[in-house]
Amino acid sequence: MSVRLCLPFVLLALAAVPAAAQRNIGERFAAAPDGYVRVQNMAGTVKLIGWDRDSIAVSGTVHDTPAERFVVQRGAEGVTLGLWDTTVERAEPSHIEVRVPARSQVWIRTGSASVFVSGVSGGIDVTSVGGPIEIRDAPGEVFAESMTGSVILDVRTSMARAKTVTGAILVRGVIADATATSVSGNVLIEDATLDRGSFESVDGELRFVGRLRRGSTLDFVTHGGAVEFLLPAASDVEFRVSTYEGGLHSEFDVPVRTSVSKIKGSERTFRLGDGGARVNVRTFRGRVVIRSR
Amino acid sequence: MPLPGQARVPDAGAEAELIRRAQAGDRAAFDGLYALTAGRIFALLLRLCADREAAERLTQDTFVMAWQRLGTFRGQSRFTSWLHRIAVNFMLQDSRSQGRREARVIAVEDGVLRAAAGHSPSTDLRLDLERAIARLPDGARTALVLHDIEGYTHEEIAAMTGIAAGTVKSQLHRARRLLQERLSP
Amino acid sequence: MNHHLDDARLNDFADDLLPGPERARAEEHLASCSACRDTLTKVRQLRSALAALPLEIAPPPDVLADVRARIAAAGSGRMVDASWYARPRMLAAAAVLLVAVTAATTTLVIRAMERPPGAAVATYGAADDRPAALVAVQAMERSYEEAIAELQRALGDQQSGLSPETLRVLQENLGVIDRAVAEARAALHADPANDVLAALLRAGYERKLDVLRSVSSHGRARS
Repeated sequence: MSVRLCLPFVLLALAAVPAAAQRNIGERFAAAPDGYVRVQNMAGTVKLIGWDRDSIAVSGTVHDTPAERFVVQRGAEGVTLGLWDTTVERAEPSHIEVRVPARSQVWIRTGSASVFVSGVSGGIDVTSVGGPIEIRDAPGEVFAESMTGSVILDVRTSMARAKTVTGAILVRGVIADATATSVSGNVLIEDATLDRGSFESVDGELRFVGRLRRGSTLDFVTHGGAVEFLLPAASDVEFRVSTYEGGLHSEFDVPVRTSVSKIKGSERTFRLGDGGARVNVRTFRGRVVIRSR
Repeated sequence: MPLPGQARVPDAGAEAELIRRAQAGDRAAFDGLYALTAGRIFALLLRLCADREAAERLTQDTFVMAWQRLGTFRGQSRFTSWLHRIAVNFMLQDSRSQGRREARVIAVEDGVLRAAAGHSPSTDLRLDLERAIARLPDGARTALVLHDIEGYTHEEIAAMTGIAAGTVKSQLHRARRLLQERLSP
Repeated sequence: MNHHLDDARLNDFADDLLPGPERARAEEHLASCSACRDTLTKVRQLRSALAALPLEIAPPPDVLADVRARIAAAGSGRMVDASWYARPRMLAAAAVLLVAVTAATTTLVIRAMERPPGAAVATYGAADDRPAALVAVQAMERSYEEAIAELQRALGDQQSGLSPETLRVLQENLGVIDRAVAEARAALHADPANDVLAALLRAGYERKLDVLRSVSSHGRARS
């Protein structure tokens, strides 16, 4: 067939295909002060901010198709919005910003989209595949999980849980009960006031920087990853360090009592200052380092 | 009543062996029993109490009592059921002595948030479900956790809690209704 | 029937608790009432979601330590097991117990402490000579492996919805976990009463379950 004959067919074909398009969205409606807000957006960004109005405002630009449209579904107890895709990691990014009543219960799910949440005092639950997650301010409780994305929690809350496979985790703020686990990601706890903490990585590093709160109990567990503490010179901590093949190095000048198990490995219990906080460290091979700031 | 495979079923032979030895005074065997069953007890108490510190404290109490009473366990029920009864007793005593207590949002462990692979079509609701359960009124929550999660019958729950079976049933129905209201659409 | 099924009857129906004739009447009503059918479906879905919740949640390690301390402090004249991974305060409690024990039993206790690690803790004529600690460890491993196998089977029924790159990274990290578990297991089998190794082994298994459940939560049923 000659090109001249082809062209009309081609043009017709193009016209017939429904076009994926980027379009602006903007909606505002009344909402319960403490209802739930569920957002799903696989790629791009999700920015969710709590405010002191009993309404929800959605804005941004979305890349949707007739088959996969951006929807806002209002129910008796809350709102569900976003692109509910069948493919977890889609290519076309949508950027969604949502303002919600501060006491909302927030639930966000993404693939590679980055997530930012602030100003929410209800509970927050965020899951991503590779998108980085950042949560700030004072939520009721926080659950943040990413496979390969990083998780940053800078919060004042009763309970925070962060989980990744390879993503780095940063924990800051004032948290009564904090848990951060990863497989090969590093976990950094920096300038955090905690009552209870549980930090685990298989091969990633765990690092605690700052003051330990009197009466707190923190647990650190790794297989091969190093566990490092950077503490103020005048610290009050009782350490119990158990390692099978790893070593312990402490810059603090303390007498170290060693009790060795029957076959291999060592457990050392020692005190800095009057031992006001309790820190348990267990590693298979990860070395344990305690430094003075 | 067996439930779809969410519990890691302990090796029945190993468990019986450990019970036998622990009854004879072998504390390593008791440690082994703890390792096999502590997760079941803690999960139950965490949901019943909706309070993590209480759940830890009562888990301790349960196992200390279990050690003391181990001689009375004759295998007439499953070992975990026997432990559950002890745990529920402690929970009831505890809630009575603490008076009315607002159910705080449960400090749940990661494990609580994990949905069973392939079981639930909407795995996304798992956290909402646990939170909603924690917010139920005490009686409704007890009935729901023991019946719909742990799999006990109304009569068994009545025997464990001293609440009439008819009341257990109506509390259960109420719990289900409240959960549905809070989790829809 | 003109009236809808009431709450109690609907729930009892969902729970298979209605006696024969009542059940038949309920079924008859449901056949022609879509509103009640909807409600019934919702109850069943809720029951299903509840039944799928995990039945086990690991308590923090402190709980076991405190249980042991309380048992030791209460003192029952029972044999002190030297294979406990002793914390300083525990040793003190155990020492008190030893003093209270009679001469005959003391001999038994001393002998128990001299037994080489890995040997049977007690022989009561049982067929099973494994040390209790090893029995427990192996049972724990078996149940984790069952849970993992079940998750992997379920994953086989799903389309993962994850990119090949992500899947590759996950596979790599599962390898990291498997290697860690293998190391901890080998060490623990040589020293089965070692609490720290047991905790490390558990942690490894828990991370593996975490990863598999994460993958599963992003999956969809194969159409």
